[in-house]
Amino acid sequence: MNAPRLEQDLDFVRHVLDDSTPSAGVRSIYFFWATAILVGMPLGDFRPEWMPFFWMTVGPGGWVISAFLGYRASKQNGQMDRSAGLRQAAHWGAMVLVISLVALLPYKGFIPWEAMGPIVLLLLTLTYCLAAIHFGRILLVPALMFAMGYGTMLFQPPYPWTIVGILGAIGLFFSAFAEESSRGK
Amino acid sequence: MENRTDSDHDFLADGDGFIKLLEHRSRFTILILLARHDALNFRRFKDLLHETDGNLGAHLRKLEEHGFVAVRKAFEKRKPVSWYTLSAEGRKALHQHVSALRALTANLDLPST
Repeated sequence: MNAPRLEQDLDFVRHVLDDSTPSAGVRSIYFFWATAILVGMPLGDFRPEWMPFFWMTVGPGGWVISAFLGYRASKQNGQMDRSAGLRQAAHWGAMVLVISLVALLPYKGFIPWEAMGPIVLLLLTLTYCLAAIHFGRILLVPALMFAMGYGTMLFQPPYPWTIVGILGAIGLFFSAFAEESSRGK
Repeated sequence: MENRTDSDHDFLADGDGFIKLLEHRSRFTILILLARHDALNFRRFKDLLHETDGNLGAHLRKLEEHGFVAVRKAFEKRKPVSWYTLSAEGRKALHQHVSALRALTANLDLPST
């Protein structure tokens, strides 16, 4: 075994391992949440009484659906990564759990209901920032969009929730298409 | 699948600890991929390794014959799909081969990256 050939072989291995790295997200999951946000956020402007029920259902239910979509995408891709899947499930599951617990605060009277919106948007921003660190930088785009959503809630333009929904959906649709094109799909 | 003993294992290895079967970079990479990921199917290996069906099939068959990988055949959308996982013996062989590589590269004058 000579050095140049060994170097070539190790380069080959390195490139293949890089190519095999799981993507930050799955297109169908991005689309699911972009649609949920486009439908669910504007409820805050047009049917605010429906909003808590919508998110308490779609939040946990969407997490289960996302886990299934992730598993299905792995199978279709021909590569199963149980530990990567569990990490993703734990990361996003923790977000769903924390947001659900935050909802108890206005319910118990510790904070006004109006504060829920900015707090949830900050939690979304934080979760997507951490996801960008651990899973892939592309998730910084939705993080930025949710941060802009937080700013929207502070300044309260007309139809703030609708604007938040559009921003969030743009971030997730962008991530869906950018990720796929970077992998040459 | 016949039971392998340590002496069978040595038959595959040379005096420096390299596993002869893994001296082909595609076979070596297949085991590394399976050590990193839980399971890959034939098509995924083909996409990653850019091997022809015939070559890839031959590599996987050799690895399976020596007990380094396990194969599970499934049907997906009515098409047969073969899923591969790393066996305990394959993990042991990979570990031995990587250790031998580490010992070799410690003595080689490789350019720094």
